[in-house]
Amino acid sequence: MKNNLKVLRAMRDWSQAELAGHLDVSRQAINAIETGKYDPSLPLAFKIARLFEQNIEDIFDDEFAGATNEQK
Amino acid sequence: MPYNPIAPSQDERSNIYFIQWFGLAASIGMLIDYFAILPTGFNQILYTMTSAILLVTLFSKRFDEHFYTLRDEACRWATGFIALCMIVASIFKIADLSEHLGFWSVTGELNLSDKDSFLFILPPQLMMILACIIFFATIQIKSLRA
Repeated sequence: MKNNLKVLRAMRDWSQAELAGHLDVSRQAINAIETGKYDPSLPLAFKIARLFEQNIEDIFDDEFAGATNEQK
Repeated sequence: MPYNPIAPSQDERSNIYFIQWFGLAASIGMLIDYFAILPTGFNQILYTMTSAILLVTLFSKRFDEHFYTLRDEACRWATGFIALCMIVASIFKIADLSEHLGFWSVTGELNLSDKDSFLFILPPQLMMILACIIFFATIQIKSLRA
């Protein structure tokens, strides 16, 4: 899943390790999320959203949103 | 968030990824030991190290969700390998059984208690070592691809 976590992290001038510390996960997990190789769980996604004071959908790109709207 | 005095540190969460390299190295060492006799005491260290890392990896709850995903994937591949070996062994077993039934149809004597007739495609110890290698290798491959 695409996301702008890297941009948000850069805006706060945090390293991956620092962000990992804020979210109670490993640096490797942050790297995997940023590169889109790993989709975080819902609790972690909420945690990220709370940390950056944004909505989840503003951080994570819902690639299936278009398809769902078309079905409607 | 409530304070948790035994919460894992950042280093602790990251170290488990690094420890997996030792698990992979030790399990490959076990494979080398299987085919070529290593000095006395060396193989005990390898077996102890691999089993300790496996137990910590499988049962500790002090890691993050990304590592659990990698661990689940590694378990899937390692268990899948064991299942594959069992399928092959069962095919041999069916072939063996048909031989017994053929013998029975000709002679009227049925002897199914012959334990030696069960053919393993791999010796159990080698199968165990290969499953360990597959487990640790899967974690590393998935981790490096991320």
